[in-house]
Amino acid sequence: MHNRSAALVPLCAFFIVWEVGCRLFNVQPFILPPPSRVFAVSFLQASILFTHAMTTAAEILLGLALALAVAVPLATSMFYHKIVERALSPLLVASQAIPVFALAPLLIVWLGYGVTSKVVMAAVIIFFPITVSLLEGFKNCDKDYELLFDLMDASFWQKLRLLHWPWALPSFFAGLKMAVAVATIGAVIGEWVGAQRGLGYLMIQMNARLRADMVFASILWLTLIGMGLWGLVGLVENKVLYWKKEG
Amino acid sequence: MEVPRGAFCALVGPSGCGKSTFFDVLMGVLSMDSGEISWGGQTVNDLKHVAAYMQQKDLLLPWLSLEENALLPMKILKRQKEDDRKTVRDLFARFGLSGFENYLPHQVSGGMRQRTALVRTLTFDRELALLDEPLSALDALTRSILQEELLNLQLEFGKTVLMITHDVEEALLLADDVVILSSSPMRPLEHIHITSPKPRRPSDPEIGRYKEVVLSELKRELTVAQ
Repeated sequence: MHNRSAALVPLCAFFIVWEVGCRLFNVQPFILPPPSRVFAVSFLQASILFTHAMTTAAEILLGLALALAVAVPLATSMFYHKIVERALSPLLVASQAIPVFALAPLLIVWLGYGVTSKVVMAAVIIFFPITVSLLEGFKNCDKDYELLFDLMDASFWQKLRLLHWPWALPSFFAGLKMAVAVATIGAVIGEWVGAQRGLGYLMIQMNARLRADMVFASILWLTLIGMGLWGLVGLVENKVLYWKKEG
Repeated sequence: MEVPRGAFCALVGPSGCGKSTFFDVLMGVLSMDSGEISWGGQTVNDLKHVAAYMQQKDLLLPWLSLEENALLPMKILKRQKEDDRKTVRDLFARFGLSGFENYLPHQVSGGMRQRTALVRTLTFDRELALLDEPLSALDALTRSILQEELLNLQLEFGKTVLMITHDVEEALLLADDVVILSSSPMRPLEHIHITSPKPRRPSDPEIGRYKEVVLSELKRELTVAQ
């Protein structure tokens, strides 16, 4: 609790400077609205923001599911087959060197203005940290434990289920947290390029109408989605990793 | 080198002489350059299927309770029976772990973890126990208590035990046969057969006498190696 309240200090200071600055220099609200106005709009327009936020959140969650569906088998086969790792790891790294945002217009062309293109955008961004961290987790497995399982004549699936997978979980969750923190970016970029719903779409629309307060309100809601996902993953992590030593 | 069935044999030697490598060969992790392994009169590639293994790291899975850890070999070897849990409970009682069945490994002391590892060695239900310095990570008091339990692998449960140790006294207290190993290349240097009844005490004159012999032998071996 003490740590959390410590984080509030710079946050409050930031908002105060912003608010005072806006009023002191008489900044036009369509250029930079004061935070009080952003907060007010966030509540007053909550129903609109909520509808769009639900779309964006759904895109992120589906993207997460898609990324997991790709990353988990990928990391597993890379771990068990050196040849797969050697064949795919340069590709993996290359896939991260391509600016995903450059792909956004193409994805819209291929997959349309609907949810699918955003889900894929989010998944493309998410799957890399998950794959890498899961693979690292697998590789961290103590050789002596593997020897023990070999002596017990454990099958491939037994080793995966009883040893390697639980062993990799802490690292997997670290990657997952990293992934959800950036997942909003993918969905929003997708929405910017072309969409009919979502917070990214709302931002573009409102920006065109010089409603900077609504743009900021959208960002605020996006931040809440990101933090909510982070918190959710943290909760699941605490449940699953009950055996981790405290501290 | 030969170990009679049901005997307790200890291997002592200067560190780095290849004792653990020798175990790796027995367990089929490494293949032999030359030589032969036989078990029960038959030549085999390794002893993977007759051996249980224990070392100084307890190798307990941190996410399983002590009981689940002890049940693991039964689970994996698909020999799971109705009374497995009872077998483990009895063994837990026998090894002073009653009441700790549902604790996680990090919640108990190193001695208790190593006891659980010992129970797991038994639930492997293999005839041969390969022990690689099983107690060297424990404090002196816990070690001396657990030495008696190791002895029970042989006396009470009828296992054949092959133990690597750097503790000469431990070897002399527990083993029927103590083999002193030389380094580079590793080979049996001396074979001491100890007949005095078990359990033995460190104060037994015979133990003291042998200790002198073994230590001087090891010292000479170290000087030669250097």
